[in-house]
Amino acid sequence: MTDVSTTPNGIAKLSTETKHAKAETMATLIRRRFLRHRMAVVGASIMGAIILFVVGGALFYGEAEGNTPDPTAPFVPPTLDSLYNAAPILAESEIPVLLGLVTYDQTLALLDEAVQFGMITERDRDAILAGTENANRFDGTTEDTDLLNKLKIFEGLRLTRVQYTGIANPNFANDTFWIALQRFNPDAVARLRAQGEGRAEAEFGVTNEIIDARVMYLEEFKSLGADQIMAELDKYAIAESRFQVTQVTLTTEGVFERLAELDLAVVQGVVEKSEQLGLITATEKQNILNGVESASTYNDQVPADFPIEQMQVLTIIEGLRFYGVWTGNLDRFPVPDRLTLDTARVNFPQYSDEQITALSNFRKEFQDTKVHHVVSRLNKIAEAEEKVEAANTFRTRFRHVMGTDQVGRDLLVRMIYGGQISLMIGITAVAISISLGTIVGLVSGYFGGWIGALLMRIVEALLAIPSLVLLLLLSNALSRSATTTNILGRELSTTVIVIVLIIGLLGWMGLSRIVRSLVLSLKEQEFVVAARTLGASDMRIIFKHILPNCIAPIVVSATLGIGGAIITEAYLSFLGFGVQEPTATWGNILNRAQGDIARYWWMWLFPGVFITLTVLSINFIGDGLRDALDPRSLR
Amino acid sequence: MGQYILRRLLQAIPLLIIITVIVFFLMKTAGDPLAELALDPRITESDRILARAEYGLDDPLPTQFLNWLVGDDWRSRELQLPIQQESTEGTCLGTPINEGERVTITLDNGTEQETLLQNGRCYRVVYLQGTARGILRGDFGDSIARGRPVLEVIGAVLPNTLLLGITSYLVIITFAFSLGIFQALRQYSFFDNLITTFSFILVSMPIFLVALLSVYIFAVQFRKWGLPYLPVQGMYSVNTDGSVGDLARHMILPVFCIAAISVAGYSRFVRASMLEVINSDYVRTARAKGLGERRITYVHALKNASLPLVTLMGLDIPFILTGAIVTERIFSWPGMGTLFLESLNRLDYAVVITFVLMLAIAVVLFQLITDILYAVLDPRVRYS
Repeated sequence: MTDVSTTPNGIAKLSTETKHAKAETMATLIRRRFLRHRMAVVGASIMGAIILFVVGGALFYGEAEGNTPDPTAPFVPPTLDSLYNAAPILAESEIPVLLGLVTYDQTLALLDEAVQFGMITERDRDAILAGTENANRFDGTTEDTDLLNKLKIFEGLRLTRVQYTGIANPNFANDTFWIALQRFNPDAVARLRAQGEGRAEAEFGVTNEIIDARVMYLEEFKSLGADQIMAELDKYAIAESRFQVTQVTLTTEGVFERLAELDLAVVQGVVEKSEQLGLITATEKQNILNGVESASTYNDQVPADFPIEQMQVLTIIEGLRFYGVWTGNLDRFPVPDRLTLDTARVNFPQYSDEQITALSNFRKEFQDTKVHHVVSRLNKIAEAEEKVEAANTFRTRFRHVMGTDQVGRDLLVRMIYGGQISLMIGITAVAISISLGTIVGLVSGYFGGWIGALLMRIVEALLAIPSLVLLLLLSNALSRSATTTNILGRELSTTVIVIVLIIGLLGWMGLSRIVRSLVLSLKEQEFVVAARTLGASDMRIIFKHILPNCIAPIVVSATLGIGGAIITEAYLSFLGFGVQEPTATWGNILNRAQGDIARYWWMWLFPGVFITLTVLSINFIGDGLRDALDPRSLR
Repeated sequence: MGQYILRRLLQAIPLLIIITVIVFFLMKTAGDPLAELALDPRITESDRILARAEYGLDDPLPTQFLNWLVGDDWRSRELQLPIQQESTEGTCLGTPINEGERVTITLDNGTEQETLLQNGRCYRVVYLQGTARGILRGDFGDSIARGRPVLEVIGAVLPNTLLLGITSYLVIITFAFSLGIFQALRQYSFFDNLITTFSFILVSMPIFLVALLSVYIFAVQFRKWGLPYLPVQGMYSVNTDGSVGDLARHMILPVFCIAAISVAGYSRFVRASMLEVINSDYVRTARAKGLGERRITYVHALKNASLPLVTLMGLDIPFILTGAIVTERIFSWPGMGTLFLESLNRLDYAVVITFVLMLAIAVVLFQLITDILYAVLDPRVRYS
């Protein structure tokens, strides 16, 4: 029988047959031998779970939720409450029990004494008694009016801790009630007193008499169990915020009382003046007066027997709010007695001096007529409605399962979208790396000579600096500006592209050396010699004969490279040189956890564990692939 | 052998030059280190110009590079600093002067000042003598952020990092070899599998997770549980006066973090290498000869198994610095990594370039040492 390899056709057939045989063997090899590796299968399943989490989770949550701060819920530890859908019920909490131990008179006395010792102002007290802050949300939760009244006062006192609209206690600069109480704890005062006369006064900035009085108040407060009541109310509020956003309505905002004080003629005058001063156009004025945009906004909140004139006033004021007359236009002007023309010229260059003075006067008028009170309350209602809507789209089922970060962003959503970015960075960077590495390896291995030597020198040069150092340098040079662009339909920081590029451009060296040595050995094999004899061009030989036989190390390198790229991105982001806010990646989230790792353990544990699991599973898969594609066992 | 060493050293020089150029370029394009001067209203424009000129920042980039390389103490530049006062037409500082004319004016305190009127503004003419001598003459420049010579700044923190690095390296060698040999001798036993699993997990962990976990467990939780806990901040406790014991306690966690991952990685290598050697012919011969097991393991097998590891570990020494950068940041260890990050942030190019240069030299040297060591250990390897 003639030797097939010596006839021209035979050589051609031999080379293609060998090539096909090699490719077929590889595919079946991967399937058979990979699946025999337990760890590789485990790795693949973990990876599958992570991909499911990252992709499937996005179907549940919109991206904006992950990046929208929620100031009412910072640093919430992970909780599974939302899974049981257990919204807090007042009757089932400790609050009624504790409140039962206090009488209403005692509560009122506490409130009055708080005013007396200067911890809250008279106005605060009136507001608390009127229930105009969110205390009214307890209405309807229980039939017990005595309980409700006491609750109103305590909740009002608790809420003075948060920013109480513009009321600063003149004696104790923003010393709101709860802070004032907690600062004067008897032990601290006793310690200070023991250290010397007047030290307590120097430390707290108030006279000794006041300190004594407050300490007595504090003791009385505690003896009534009022501090426990406050603590329970705190817990209740946090639990509540997880399930619903407080509905704010015209009633809770005290709009109706304010409306009653206003006169239709006055309000119409305000509209006229607004138009004269150029804050609204003539068409807008007509729209406001006719209630074009605003007539039906509050139809469902207004009672049936509401006086028509007040309804008209409400409509007009809603119109003013709709066209932004208060916010954005007028509220920034200082009132006449605080107006300095120089600063005003700088801040409002589009207005002339006369206009500025006129607007400033108008602002005072606006305030005097109390129209702005209604406007700002309507603004609050509108904001709250937006929040409610946003909260309703955010699935409450898995809310805060991983806790929140400093500004109240839910960590679960950030992990999902951060995972997408991290994985995407890993895959894209590796794609760049292996393309570059393969090309460089092929060229330097096949052609050799001076170009091969030059390329290898470059590889050595790049390997001489530790990659992290070089990455930090590049990132520092390129990613100082944090703008956002639209990538694949999402708003991402441009630093994502920068990071992908620099990780990709610094990760190809290892593969190029492996490919080069492989090409050097393949170059001399029979099928290559045969192909060259048949007159195949260099390009054809490289891409149709040599490259298919190099796939094994390329595949393995790609797989392990993804893990490496993810870890590298995590390192960079952790040091602050990676992807910038507001785009989230796993490394990014870890970066923000550095503040207090003991207390806020969830902020670093979850991203860290996810990164570890991802890289672990990738390593398993890579090992399995490497064994499956091991050329030594191809025979 | 000597020729080989010489050749390698000579080959390294263009490498270092290229690295220097790249790093210089990267740092300069990253931004202007004196940018915040522009924001401070108390600093006048003439001060700003003077500051920039003193650091040579107003030259074009190639000139800056040349100055940094060979210095500029041979040149004296003329600077025109604007005078802040409102000047009346045709006069500067009270002296009549024509457009484009230079006049030497005597100030109130007796000093003479050359003044120039150009485009209607008065300028003070100053001659700035270059002071840099260039790195080729040993002057590595001044750190802009700290105002002290770069070598002094680096020298202050280098010992700290070396302490951490060398200790970690010794720990890595000890534990990697011990664990690897232990695993190889007890292949597939329970401990072997346990350690292998742990190694796999550790190798997949980023170093900061190891650090955070160890801080959380050994410092925070131990404290809560009343056990003796380890310190996590800096090199010495605040109220002690720097005893060695205190330093050692502070070093435990950082060294552990840097070493842990490397130990995990290398122990697998040692294990594989030892297994390969133990099943080879010459070991079988030694056993047949009747040598004791211990002598076989530690003398014959280990020596041959450690050859590829010498290369690996030798090349890795400068890369311990990478782990150190992150670890130093977490543990607030005042070392080179912290210095590097800070200087990057503040665009202190002199420190960064010197640092990278030192690192590159270290890498080249260690590569050379490793190769030589390899040749010394393995008589089959010969370099022409």
